[in-house]
Amino acid sequence: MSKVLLVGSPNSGKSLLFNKLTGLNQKVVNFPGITVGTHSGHSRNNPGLEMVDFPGVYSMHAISGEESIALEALSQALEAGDVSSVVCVVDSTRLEKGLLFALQLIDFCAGYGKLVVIAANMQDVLRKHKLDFDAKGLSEAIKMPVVALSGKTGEGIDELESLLARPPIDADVGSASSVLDPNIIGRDDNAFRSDAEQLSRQFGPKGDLLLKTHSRADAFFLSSVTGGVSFFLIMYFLFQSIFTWAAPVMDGVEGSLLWLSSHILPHVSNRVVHDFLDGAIFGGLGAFLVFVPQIFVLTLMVGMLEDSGYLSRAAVICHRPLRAFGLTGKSFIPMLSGVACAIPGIYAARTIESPRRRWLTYLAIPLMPCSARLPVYALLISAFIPAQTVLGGWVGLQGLAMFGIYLLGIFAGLLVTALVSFTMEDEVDDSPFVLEMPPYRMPSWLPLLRGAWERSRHFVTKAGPVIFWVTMAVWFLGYFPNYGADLGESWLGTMGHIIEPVFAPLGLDWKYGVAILASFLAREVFVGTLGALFGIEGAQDNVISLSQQVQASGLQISSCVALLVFFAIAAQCVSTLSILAKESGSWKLPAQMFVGYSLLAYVSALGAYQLIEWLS
Amino acid sequence: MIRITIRIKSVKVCHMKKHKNNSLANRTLWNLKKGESCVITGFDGTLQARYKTRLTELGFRPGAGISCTVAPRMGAPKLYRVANAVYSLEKQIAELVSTENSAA
Repeated sequence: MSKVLLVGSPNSGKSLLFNKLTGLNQKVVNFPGITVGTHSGHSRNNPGLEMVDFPGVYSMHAISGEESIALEALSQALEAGDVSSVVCVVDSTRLEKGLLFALQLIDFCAGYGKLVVIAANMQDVLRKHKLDFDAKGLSEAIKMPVVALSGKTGEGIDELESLLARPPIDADVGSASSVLDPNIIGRDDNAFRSDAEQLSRQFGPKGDLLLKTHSRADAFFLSSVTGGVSFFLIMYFLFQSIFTWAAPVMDGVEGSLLWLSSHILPHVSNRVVHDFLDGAIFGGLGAFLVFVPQIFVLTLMVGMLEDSGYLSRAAVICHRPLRAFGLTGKSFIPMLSGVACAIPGIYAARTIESPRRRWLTYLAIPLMPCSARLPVYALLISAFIPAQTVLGGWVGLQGLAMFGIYLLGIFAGLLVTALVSFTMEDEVDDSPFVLEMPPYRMPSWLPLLRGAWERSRHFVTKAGPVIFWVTMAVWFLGYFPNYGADLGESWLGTMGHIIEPVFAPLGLDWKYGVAILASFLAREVFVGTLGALFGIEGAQDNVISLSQQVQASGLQISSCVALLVFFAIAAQCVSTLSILAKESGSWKLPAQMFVGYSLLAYVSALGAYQLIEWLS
Repeated sequence: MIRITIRIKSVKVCHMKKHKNNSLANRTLWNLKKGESCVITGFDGTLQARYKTRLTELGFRPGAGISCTVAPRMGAPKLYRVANAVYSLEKQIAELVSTENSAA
């Protein structure tokens, strides 16, 4: 099995090309630096070839951790000796930038006796704007194969595949440097820059139609007035959509579960099995599944923003405000990724060159309102906020409440980073903010839908087993020894009463205490645990019933707010803490965060509870 | 002693005259307003070598023509077009890039 390495500048469309070549669904984002590790897959049409997608780098001189990792991995792959071809992906609409790196790469690979195939991507964009690209002329000039293609439409992919399928193009060469243009090999960077400029002018697209179009959009999205308003509206629309768009599908899932339970339960004669299916499966696991459509919508909306090219503009808008909290505009993307899941957010923080600001971003990400918190928020909001709209139907109260609780998480993250930044010593080597603005693009809906589906599936398959076993344990401990006759007298009830004093100051009884403790494995376990507990007590098997059961349990609005505040701040995710330990190089930071955020969550929840009690 | 003093004064006068005659003299990239263009002349000595290299790789090299496409208020990073790409630079680094009038 031989390898084909896909390398190139950030945002040159490597991942899109990788997906076309492999048929896989690697995340594609219109933002520089989103591929943060190597990904590999077998070529769809040449199964003997393994395609490896590398993170984007601007040059062979790394200045960020992400670039160092990419270049080190590239060197290791070339040294391993099983590489058949190196494909350098360049964005044809920004040829000069891509060619500078391509020339450096050609020089670098010559040291390993490897030729480089230039994949001139984004031909569909050039064609749309009637711009020309001379692949043949460029190929003759640099004495390297140049394939004009589009990772989006598939144009030119066949030509690239047939080129890669041939016996290694440098097999009979011995040393690539012997056939390479001596004008390219061994030159310094200044010469490469001049060459890239000249080659781009000679063979690249003429005119600046694309840039003029983007400038008009930038003038709108980055203006002091329209930029701020549009940013707020886009973010608001994002959170409103979680409720409004997901509602019909949630109703569908809920109806399906009800239909299933009504058709299965009457046929189960054994009482214990009947109660187990009713309480643990339909009550516990079922309650969790109902929220999956919301995760799908959230991922889809975040993906749409990423694909459109707007995120880089949002980073520019946020830069100055985030600076006040010790962060940078580049922290915005990891933080927004953290809204879907903290783990990709932590990986995305590698793009922040400044160690200080990267470290502060790590602190903020676990406080972002991730999708695992969504089921908890949705349950509590649907239990206490009516599903009504105001302002002529434009504003949904539940969506507004969701927006508010999301803002609370973001505010908590900023507050923590500001406090820590204030107490930290100034860093001498503080990297400045330099960010490439990718072109605006219409989102590619099919990959986005696939990505949202994959994310939802991953969420269910990852959280599902944990929720299943915790729900089993909770149901078992809550059902026995009295066969569900009295939950308070069960084994779980006995244990719950022991920990009840910890949660009593928040107005929460032992059942909520047990659910909170279980949620330290994973936040979403909270809903499943409550579902199982209320299931044992005879609740219906659907989420609306669960929210009604939450209301009927005597939970006050003050305790509901305390719960929301607690979940907004507490760092209850083992996976996130593990990844953080890996990225920061030790368990010190995650351990401090776990203890610190847990205490902060409890104290803040207590404060919120006392405040509402005092006001009412 | 007197001659040396005169020389220094002479240099100062020349410098002031140049500044008076050319409003873009000694300007940095950050001074560029929306729609204005310039040519990069060099970098401030305090700019770290690795950032100088990276800026150069991105196209911000001496002799390159740059235009400012968006200049938001309140000190937000500005957008600069260089070759066929657009980059956002904050004040701290844009101030370390020296420029002169593109017509010069």
